[in-house]
Amino acid sequence: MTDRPDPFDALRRPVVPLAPRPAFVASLRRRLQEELNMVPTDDQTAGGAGAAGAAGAAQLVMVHLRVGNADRAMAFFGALLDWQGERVEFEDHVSYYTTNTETTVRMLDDPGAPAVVPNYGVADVGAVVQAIGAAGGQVTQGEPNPDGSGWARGTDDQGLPLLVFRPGRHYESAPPTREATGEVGLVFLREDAARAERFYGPVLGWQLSRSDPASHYFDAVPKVGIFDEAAAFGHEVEPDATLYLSVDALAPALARVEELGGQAGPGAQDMGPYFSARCTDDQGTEFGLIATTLEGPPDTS
Amino acid sequence: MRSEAGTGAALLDVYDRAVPQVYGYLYGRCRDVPTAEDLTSETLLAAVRAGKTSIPWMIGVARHKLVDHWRRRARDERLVARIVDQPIAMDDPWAVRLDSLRVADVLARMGGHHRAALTLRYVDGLPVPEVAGVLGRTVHATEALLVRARAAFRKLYESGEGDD
Repeated sequence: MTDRPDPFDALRRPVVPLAPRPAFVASLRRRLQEELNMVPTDDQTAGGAGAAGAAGAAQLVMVHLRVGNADRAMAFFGALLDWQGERVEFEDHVSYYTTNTETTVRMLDDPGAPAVVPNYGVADVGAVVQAIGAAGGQVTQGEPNPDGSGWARGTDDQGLPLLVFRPGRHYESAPPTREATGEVGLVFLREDAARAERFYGPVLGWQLSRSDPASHYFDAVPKVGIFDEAAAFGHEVEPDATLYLSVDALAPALARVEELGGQAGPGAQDMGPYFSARCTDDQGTEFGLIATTLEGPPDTS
Repeated sequence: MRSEAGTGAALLDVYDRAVPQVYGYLYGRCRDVPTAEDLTSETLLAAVRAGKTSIPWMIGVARHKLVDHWRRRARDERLVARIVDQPIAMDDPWAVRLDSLRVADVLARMGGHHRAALTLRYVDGLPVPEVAGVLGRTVHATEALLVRARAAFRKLYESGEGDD
């Protein structure tokens, strides 16, 4: 008939791990515990947004995003994703903390801050501070308390920033009045995966996993992934972190980015379970968008 | 519950790691959060009850559950008769390079039987006899179904191009 390649071969998709909604994971975990005749405990929900995931592993609970002007950033992301936030002035800088997202985003106007800082919830800040140093990282600032509470910021052994704190009821913000249409989808870390596993294993209890032994992308905990780009493409890569925000459909969100004065990236990429694109806001802040569909919910009629 | 994996806590740790794999498999193919969540729950509970900790085993269970889901949906939508009544189209060579960004949307618009057959054969990459086994059909009937499914996919894909 023909020796041309079969176009249907393009349908092939490997199994790509995907973090479900934390509420679903927490619910399923309770059901599994019941099946295993285990008594469900509250320790899986003690970490705020870190309700789901491997037992004991520190979860992502907040992300710091460096922006130009925080008021403009709040206006941009509010218009793009229906975010609501609380304005905080501290040490000559303005921040907005989102109040209607599952994972809090802090938009900070400090030009000296790293572009993206993932914040992880831990049970004992002091122990993590010690582990960071022992694993080759650096703690640059912090207030660990004897009872395990407090916070600390620093870098991992490859220079990527991180912040750890013990979540608690430190502050009650005003209740949101609308639902966000965009969430923290993924903090995408580009660094050496083997080194990352050696660092984050003892420090945060992570165990990296991947769907395919040939893949260079690893899942760490829900909403955090590590891509070993140097291993994948054979060139030097400066470690960095990118915040991807999840939306229902990619194309309308990209159009909205442009309407609001931002720039949508060079095109959507099919990442298997979702589509993604890099963008900038109207001040040049880099971020990414991910969605499970391009144009909208599939027509199941 | 007893198994080679040991205590409940160790088992729970195994299942914690399996959830993103099973959910990723299911969501990547059905593109529907409620369906993926329901079938992930069913799969994990089946694994716990069977004392199984192998992720490939769970993916296999998830695959069967997804096909059952599509089969039920096809029945509900009275698509069975339509599919059975359709003549077998010529499976002529199709010289096109599929736009991977649109493939998922086209698959999502297909009827349950066609979607199941194409997913198993091409998305999962199973050989036809294994597709037949999962679908509970003979190899010959599966080949015929795949011919119809390919033709239906092509029709939808090409009609979509005209809408752009």
